[in-house]
Amino acid sequence: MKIIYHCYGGAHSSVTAASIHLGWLPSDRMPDNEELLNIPYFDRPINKDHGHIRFMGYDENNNEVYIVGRRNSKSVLENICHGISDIYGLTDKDVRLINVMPYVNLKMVIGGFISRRLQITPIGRPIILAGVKSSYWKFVNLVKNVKKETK
Amino acid sequence: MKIFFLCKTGHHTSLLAANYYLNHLETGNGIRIKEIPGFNDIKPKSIGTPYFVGKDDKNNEVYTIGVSSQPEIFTRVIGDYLNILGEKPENWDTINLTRITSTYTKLGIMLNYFRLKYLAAYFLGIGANREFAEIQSVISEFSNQTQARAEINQYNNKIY
Repeated sequence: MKIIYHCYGGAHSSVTAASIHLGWLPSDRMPDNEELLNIPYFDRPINKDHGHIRFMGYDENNNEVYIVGRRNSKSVLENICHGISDIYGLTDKDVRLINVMPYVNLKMVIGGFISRRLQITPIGRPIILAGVKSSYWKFVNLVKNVKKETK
Repeated sequence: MKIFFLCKTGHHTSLLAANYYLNHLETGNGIRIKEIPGFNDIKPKSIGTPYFVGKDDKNNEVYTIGVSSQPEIFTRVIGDYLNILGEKPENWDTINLTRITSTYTKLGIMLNYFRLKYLAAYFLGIGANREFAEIQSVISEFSNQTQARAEINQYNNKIY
């Protein structure tokens, strides 16, 4: 199965959720800043990276895990992916799209804007890290539910 | 092969182009948008869902897809998604027509959202006719490229 975590920019929430899914971030304690900054793509993608579906890795059930940034067009992304899946005869058992945006908080939005859009990383990044930690257990719960459904 | 024509909604410029490509379009007295199945038949929440238009003379399937106001992003999504599904690049193609969409068509789409259907149809009709010349040019170029690719593949197959 292919699991695609998606969010606005593919730089913070989807990357965090995918990393928890793959075991790169702990699900029983809060990670420190260094652990978060060490995960691939965390606070790195820029505008021209939006839309690229990036492969992150295989989970313990050999599911492929991906991330993608789709700005504010959640339904367009989902319609395209589900529609193309239909064309090729695929179902929810083959591809799952997971929207991580409901777990994004204001700190992540503001920090992400400052770091990625304004490119003022020294100011934006600490705000994002604080934001990710605020929502961390929500990401962990999301991943637990995804894993339960995709076993 | 699957061919995806892209525009903002998947039911305007791209649908016009797809119908022209498939020789489904009567252009004698200008474009008559009411005669194009699916034209302007959009629900905002369904933008992005591929719309099957037909098959060409080489049995290629032709679809339109709405990419909203983010054509670059969703062209990448389509390409990468097909790639992760294991589809080889030679088995699909996308033609982005968003830059061709005329101001009249955009105005018509907006009027549609406000349910001013008759006024919308008026502007959409003008828009379709204004876009047609450029659509012909894009389709001609696409057909030439497809033909050239097919001849190269044939040539390569003969050598190997």
